[in-house]
Amino acid sequence: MSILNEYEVFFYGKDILIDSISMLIVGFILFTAISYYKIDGKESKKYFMYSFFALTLSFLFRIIGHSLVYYATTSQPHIGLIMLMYQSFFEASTGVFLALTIYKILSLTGFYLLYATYAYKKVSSKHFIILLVSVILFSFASHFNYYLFHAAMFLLAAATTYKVFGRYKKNKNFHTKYIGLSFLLLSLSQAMFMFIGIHTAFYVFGHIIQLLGYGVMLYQFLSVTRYDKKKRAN
Amino acid sequence: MIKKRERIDIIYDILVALANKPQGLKPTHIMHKANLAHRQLKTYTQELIKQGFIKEITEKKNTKICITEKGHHMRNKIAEMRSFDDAFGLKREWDE
Repeated sequence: MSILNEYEVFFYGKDILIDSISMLIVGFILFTAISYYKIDGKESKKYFMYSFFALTLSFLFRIIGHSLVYYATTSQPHIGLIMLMYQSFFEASTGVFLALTIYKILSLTGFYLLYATYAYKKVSSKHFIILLVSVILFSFASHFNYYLFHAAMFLLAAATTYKVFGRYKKNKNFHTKYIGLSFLLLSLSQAMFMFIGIHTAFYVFGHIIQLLGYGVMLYQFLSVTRYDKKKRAN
Repeated sequence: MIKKRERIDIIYDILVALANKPQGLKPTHIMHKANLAHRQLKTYTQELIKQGFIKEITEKKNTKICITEKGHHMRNKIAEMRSFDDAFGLKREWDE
């Protein structure tokens, strides 16, 4: 199974930790965005909320998928029957396939909705159905070509970065500049994942950059919601 | 072109005006401070009283409107949300 070749042994488990931290950050922002959406019900916030919901779930499925990969490669069967080993591996790989397909669908949907938040005033239901069908087909196709998925993710993240920096040009808010930087880091992490075929160290770099990207986003988020709260109280 | 205020902006302006005067404000003063027409004021105050963000008090035949604890909390939440929208570039006016 080709997917097992993508991992550096020394990075075993650490990618799951990074994904878990990223999931918590995205989930935390989602939780706050829901509370804000309840107040004003704005269309832009709705897409933002949906995109973070999809991204939170996508991390969950990636964690499940990667945990299954580790389980399949590290667990030693107590009974030395080849058939049992094969069966356990087969079950794990079916689970891996399913979990990673769902992860890809949700990630692409999440990043597309994030782009839509900044690019469109309204996403029609027709637009959304076309998006969903393309994302599902694309996710299945990407199982046969690893680059395809990360190239699409890179393009979506880069387009979102461009849009966010466009907003920064207009609002001149330094928080927006750093949010743009966090999206830039997320785009870079996707670019790193594209080069795994050249060297598996790119998998490690990709994860570290991804963590940095979400870290910057969390820091800005906390600055806005916590620090500004203190400023308002004073 | 001057952008029309959204519903949430009007609510925020009313709550800010009231938060600056803990002893309460007369409806006409709220109209001036929040820049509202009489009909708008009536609609918004009725809604905010219903939701428990403000309350009406009568002192010596004068009616005043005061902000409640829930109203203070809502004002802070809206301010926080505005900072969030601005930081994440979610404000729609940046498109226009």
